[in-house]
Amino acid sequence: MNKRQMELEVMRYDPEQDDKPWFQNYSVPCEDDWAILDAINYVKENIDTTLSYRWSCHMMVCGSCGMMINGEPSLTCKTFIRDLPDKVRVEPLENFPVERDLVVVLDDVMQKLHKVQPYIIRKDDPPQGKEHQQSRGALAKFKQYTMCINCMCCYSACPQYGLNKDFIGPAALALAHRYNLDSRDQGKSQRLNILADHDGVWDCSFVGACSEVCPKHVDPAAAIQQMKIDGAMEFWKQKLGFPGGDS
Amino acid sequence: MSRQPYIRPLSKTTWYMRNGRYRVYMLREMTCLLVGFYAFLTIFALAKLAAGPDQWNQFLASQQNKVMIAFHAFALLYFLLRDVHFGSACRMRYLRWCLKCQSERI
Repeated sequence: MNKRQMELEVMRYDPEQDDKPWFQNYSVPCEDDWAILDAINYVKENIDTTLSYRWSCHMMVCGSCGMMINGEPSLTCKTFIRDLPDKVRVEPLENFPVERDLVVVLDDVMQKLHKVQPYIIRKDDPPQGKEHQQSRGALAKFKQYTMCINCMCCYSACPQYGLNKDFIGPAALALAHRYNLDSRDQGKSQRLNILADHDGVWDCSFVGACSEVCPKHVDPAAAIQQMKIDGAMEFWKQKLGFPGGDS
Repeated sequence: MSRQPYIRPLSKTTWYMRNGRYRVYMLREMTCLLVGFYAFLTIFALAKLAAGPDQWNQFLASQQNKVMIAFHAFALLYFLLRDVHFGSACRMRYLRWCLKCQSERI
């Protein structure tokens, strides 16, 4: 296997020693089929054991290894060495506080994910002794929004979230839309009270960067624009006295 | 061990210089200035029309010079650019989603 010498410029920050982050260079002998995560693992195992970062599955499922690679938010397990120049800058995800080195604080997003009520809400009793039935067409309406792995690349790409931390943000809004579109759910109007509020969908100015960087092609920007239409429809339905949009 | 997360500053006035994607977005949104100008021009034209044929012809004559024609051509191109970037993005997203739903339907 061919080896290629690569310069990794990694952002470092130790809250007990540093006032602000700084960059450290590592020279890594990379193999052709390596992803950036392999190069970072090489640094951790062979050069500098103090480097901190998150990772788990190495197969685009866990969403732990999201970082800025040359200024673009991406999963390091999905970004291959062969597609990059010889010098690569690795930083923690933008728009989040840095806990240490490449690890960011995700508490705010976790609260937001919880806030949008991402679970099936029923007003009726569930069917007795049998399961909810759902057609393939009904599933297709929301299936792409179930693909989110919470890697937070979308939050990192979103300038609106960077400037306004009250904004609920792309992943949480896409997750809420996933449940709004689910034919088994009856909590749409309850959820829209949160989503169509000041810090919800109307804070999105449709830069579209969230969808462009999403490694799972969830397209949160589409979810948000669809929810703007839903929110407006629901508003006029309530004004005109029509029944709500819950299924 | 103490927690002391570092918050990287993001300037409220120069955030769009962070990457090319944001700069294209700002260029797209700057068409609002042209929309404002055309709104003003329409109101101005209606006022001239209401003032009588002489005023209206004067207004038409004021528009028929090289600078105004070049400006209108620039505005048209700028609006087309906006439509390609914003409009097609919206339509493509909606169409892709509809097609996905349709293809799964039995």
